[in-house]
Amino acid sequence: MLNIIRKDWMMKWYVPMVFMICFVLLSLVVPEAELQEVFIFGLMWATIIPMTIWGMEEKFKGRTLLCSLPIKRDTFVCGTFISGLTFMLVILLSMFLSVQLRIYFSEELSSSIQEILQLKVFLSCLWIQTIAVFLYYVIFTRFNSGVATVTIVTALFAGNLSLKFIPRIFSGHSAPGADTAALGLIDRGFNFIFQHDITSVGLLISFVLIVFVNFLAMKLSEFLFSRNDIVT
Amino acid sequence: MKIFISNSSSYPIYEQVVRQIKKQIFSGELKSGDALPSIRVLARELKISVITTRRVYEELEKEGYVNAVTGKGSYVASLDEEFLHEKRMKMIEDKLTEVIAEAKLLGIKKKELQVMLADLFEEE
Amino acid sequence: MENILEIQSLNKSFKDFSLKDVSFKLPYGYIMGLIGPNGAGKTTIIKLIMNLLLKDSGDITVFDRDHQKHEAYVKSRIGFVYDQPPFPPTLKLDKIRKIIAPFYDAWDEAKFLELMERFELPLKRKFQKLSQGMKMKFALVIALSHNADLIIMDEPTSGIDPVFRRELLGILLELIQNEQKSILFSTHITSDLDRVADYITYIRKGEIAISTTKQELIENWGIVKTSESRLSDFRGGIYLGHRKNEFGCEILTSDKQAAGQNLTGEETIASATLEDIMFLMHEGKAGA
Repeated sequence: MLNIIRKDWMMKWYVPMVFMICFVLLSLVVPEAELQEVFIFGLMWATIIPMTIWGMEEKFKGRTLLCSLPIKRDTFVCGTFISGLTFMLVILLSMFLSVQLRIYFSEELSSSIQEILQLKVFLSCLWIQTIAVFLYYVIFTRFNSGVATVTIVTALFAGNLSLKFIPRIFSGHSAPGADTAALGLIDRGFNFIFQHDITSVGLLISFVLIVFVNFLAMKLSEFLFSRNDIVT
Repeated sequence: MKIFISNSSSYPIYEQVVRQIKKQIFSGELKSGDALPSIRVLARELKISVITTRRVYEELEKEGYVNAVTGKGSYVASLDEEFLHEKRMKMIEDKLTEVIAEAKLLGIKKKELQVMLADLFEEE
Repeated sequence: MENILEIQSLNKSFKDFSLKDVSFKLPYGYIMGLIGPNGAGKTTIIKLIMNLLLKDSGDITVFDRDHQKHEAYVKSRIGFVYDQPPFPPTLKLDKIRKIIAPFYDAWDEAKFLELMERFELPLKRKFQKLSQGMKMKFALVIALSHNADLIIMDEPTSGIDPVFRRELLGILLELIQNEQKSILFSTHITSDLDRVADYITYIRKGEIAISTTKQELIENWGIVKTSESRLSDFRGGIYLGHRKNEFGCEILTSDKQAAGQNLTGEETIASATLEDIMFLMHEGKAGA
């Protein structure tokens, strides 16, 4: 398993690098007021990283190689999964650090940005990733990256549409500041978390649930992959 | 031990090898008690399959040219002159049989063939 | 205990192709050539052994163990060479080694470097910059560097020049000096590689047509050259196929001795080459 993670990092280290450099630069130059939006945007795009990593795996016949090496199919599935997550976690952490830095060097600390850096925000971000990854990886292992990408994009698009057509359901909360409805949804999610004082027990349950959902994604993928032809 | 394999020969590879080893025994190049290379080494050197070389040794053993010692390898058997002579005669006999069959096919008479053989023998 | 690889009634079907009831055995210490025309199912068999494709039914036993239940163990002792080696194309050979080596417990660094030098492969070159022949060589280096007991090669001769093909024969024979090691390779051209094969498995349209020692084919199989009118005399248990031409007819038989007794006049019988066998069996069944 460690070998798979090692392999991925040796092969694709530059993917998160490019992303990180872009984000760090962006977070340093944008005006303070927009930092929150940039941050949310970055969180969303971080989900793309493990998907890219898995997609590349397929392009370079990584499946054929790994499954010919002395590992079990199950190990291949969870190894690749966890490897993708390590990429994402590294990026999320580096994003937090770079925003921290920005705030550290900035003279007027805005309270809204302070809030972003709380643990509960980190956890709620992880939920976005977890659900996206769950959708993607399960479809990816059963079919291929193409089908998975199409599914995710369709899901996003459908979500977008439904938000546009039924905005009143959510109208109880503050209006979305971001231009797309999808971002609006996340914004509302954040507002919900900020406004309701979630206790530490709630956070813990949330964290355990995230781990559980990831685990479920892995097991479901293992199950699907065990009856899958790697090369056809 | 020298062995050459020809891809264009009409004899299959194993027969070529058998013949060449026999010839070397007849000519005295291989003496009784000499060790032959192991089946796998011979296959490696000649770049032919292991089963082919095994077949070669089996054939040689069956005909009494070679003794196999389990776990040690194969050795040229101790052959007396009489046996060798008999075998040599057999080899020539086989060749002549072929010649006679061919001659018959071409309509050459026994007398003509005898004369031809005598002449050729003289020339040598 | 005596077979390094045993395949028993293996089945696998696709939309447009299926492998039917494939069975064969490869004993320890020998080389087997899997031959057959393109699309006959050779690669499918190899992928099934490697569990890259899932079998529909049947048993595959490698080193006396089931290849799915003991997947990691079995693969740690197999060296694989595919016709399209699946190594990451953008990495240097040295990097690829760093990635692959930790997967094998028995990785032999010295052996790897020695082979790289022997095959004249540059450590600092990217995989995608290699020629097809060099890619093949590199795959072979990887396969030979972890002390594998079974080497499985899919079309190893593709893109390889005749000089290296000869060298490959030597390498393979060197390997089976150890009587516990075996080699399985597939090829669609009857090449000099067949010369070192102890066993020949001929696969045609997803079915095994022949699986026996090459010696058996050479010693007992033959081609009768005769006239078309005599075709019926050679039909029966030992008939395997024939081909007509303007001047006569070639008949493939599995018993040279028996067929030889049938000969009259100008008819001749000769040993069959693998190419003859592939060609005549292909024609014969189609025309029968």
